[in-house]
Amino acid sequence: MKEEMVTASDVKFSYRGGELVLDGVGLRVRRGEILGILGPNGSGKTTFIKCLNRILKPHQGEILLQERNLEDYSRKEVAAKVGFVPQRSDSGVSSPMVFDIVMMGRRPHMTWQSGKEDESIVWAIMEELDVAHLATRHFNELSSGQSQRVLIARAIAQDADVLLLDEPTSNLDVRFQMEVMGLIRKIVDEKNVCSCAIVHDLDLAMKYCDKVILLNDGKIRSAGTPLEALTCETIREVYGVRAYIEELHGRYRVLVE
Amino acid sequence: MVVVIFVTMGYSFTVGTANLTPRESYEVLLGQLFPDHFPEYPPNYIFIMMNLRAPRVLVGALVGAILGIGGCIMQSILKNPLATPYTLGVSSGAAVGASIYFIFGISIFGGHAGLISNAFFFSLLPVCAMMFVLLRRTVSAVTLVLSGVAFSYVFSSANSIMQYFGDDSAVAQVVFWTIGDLTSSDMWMVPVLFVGLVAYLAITWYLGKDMDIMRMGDDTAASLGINVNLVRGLALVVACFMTALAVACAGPIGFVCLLAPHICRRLVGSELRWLVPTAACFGSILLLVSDMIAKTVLAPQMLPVGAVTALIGAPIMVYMLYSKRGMRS
Ligand SMILES: Nc1ncnc2c1ncn2[C@@H]1O[C@H](COP(=O)(O)OP(=O)(O)OP(=O)(O)O)[C@@H](O)[C@H]1O
Ligand SMILES: [Mg+2]
Repeated sequence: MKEEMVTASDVKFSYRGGELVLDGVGLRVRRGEILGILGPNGSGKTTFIKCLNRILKPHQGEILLQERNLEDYSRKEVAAKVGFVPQRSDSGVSSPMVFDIVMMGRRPHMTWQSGKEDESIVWAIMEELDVAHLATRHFNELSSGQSQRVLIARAIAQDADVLLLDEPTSNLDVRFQMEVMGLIRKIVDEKNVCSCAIVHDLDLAMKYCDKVILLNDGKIRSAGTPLEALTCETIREVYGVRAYIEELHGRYRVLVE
Repeated sequence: MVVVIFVTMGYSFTVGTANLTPRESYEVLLGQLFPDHFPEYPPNYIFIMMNLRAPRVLVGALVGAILGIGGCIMQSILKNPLATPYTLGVSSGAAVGASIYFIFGISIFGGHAGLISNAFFFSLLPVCAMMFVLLRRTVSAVTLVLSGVAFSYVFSSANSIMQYFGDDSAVAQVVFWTIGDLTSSDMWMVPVLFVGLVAYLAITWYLGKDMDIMRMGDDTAASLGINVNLVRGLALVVACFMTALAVACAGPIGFVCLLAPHICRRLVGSELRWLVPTAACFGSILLLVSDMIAKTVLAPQMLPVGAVTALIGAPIMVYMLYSKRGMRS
């Protein structure tokens, strides 16, 4: 059995005394796996993923990173192990340049200044995500798809064992949806790391995820392989739409009525 | 830019209401440092140089630099292009301190340092209050700006009330002080401000990279291992502290904080490690030039330098805001 990277169990969380946004959720991701987190808007996906890298602290429950309690890590250790692409990224007064943003991903690995090695890593990743030609552009001058790719590049530059991705494909065109998911797949396989990605597209989840969890109202409705967890019943119950799972050319697709 | 500062400083030494030739000015100055090599000058020349001109120029340069840096830090931390340390109530706090000194004659330290200590203490009140909150929980940039503005209003109404009851000459003094002026510069301020400035530059250099990352959002910064609350709190406190120091020495001189970062961003981009030193230089130059104009335009009458910086600064500011379209960030 592969090493368990992230194990969360019975996580409960609420924002500042409000009602429970997460009510006893958990997951388990091993090396080499992509776990898809699905669920309707407002079901607590973003909140959950932020608990996994300690941006938010759950009130209850346990989160283990490589079988050690997440609380016991230092800030820098967490940053070196867990990369994060937020759903939204705002940049205030004047936004940094693309190259500098990707370079930010190297921060957990630098002592004081970035070196030549960091630079070559950053360039290689930027080539791979096809943002190298944007290197000197300012972040707020990019299209949303381009900025999405830049942020993913930054998370990959972080060289983390766990990639937390909050809707990595939401602004991308068809080709880049495939390419980004394919790239995440490739990185997870080659570097033997793992990823938790929030995905809205059921087809993408079917194709690229090894496991999924389906959240509804802060609770887990179903979990398992995509085929086990995403069935006509669970989809109808959670999203309120009728759907069929069809096999086409050896792949499973979700048809929504 | 550093060269420009020194040239401007060098020239400023020679400008003043008294009729000293530039050569005489320098010989007096250098004569203080190396007494053997220069001719003796009458004591009143020495007095003019050492007590009036030299402190004015040196304090002006230092205060300008400190104000310029403060603007950079605040705009970056508060994610607001109009933010300055003054936004957080530093200047209005200082004005209250000054009012209490002038109108009621009450001060924390007696005598000469009364005004300065009062202004310094009161300008630190808002940031202390904010620190108190920041230690307990995370506060967003917007909340900080709004609470700073609220503080400013509280202070300015406190000020109005005091002025309402104060006698005319005291009120006039307060008003004059709040314009900002370098005439009360003193030689002892120079080493204090200088040491402060060096420490200030070092701290911002150290925090600069993290503050740059924080512009991408707090969550991103936290996921890269930055203690967001600590960096923000530290930057705020240091910036407000240094600005309070500058304001206590020279009064709340306007626009340097706002203008220097904006102009320098066009020159060197927005990376704080480069922006901060550039803005410091620019702030110095702006204040020195304004001071020279203040000294010469209506000579022998001297204008308060705060009024001149605003007079020069405001149009440039407005021009920049309107020409912003089509410009790189
Ligand atoms: N900062 C916050 N303060 C208070 N409540 C919040 C905050 N962020 C999210 N919530 C609430 O928590 C619940 C879950 O939000 P969350 O962002 O986790 O949803 P999500 O599953 O990511 O939705 P989406 O698909 O729209 O991104 C929502 O009801 C939301 O209103
Ligand atoms: Mg979300």
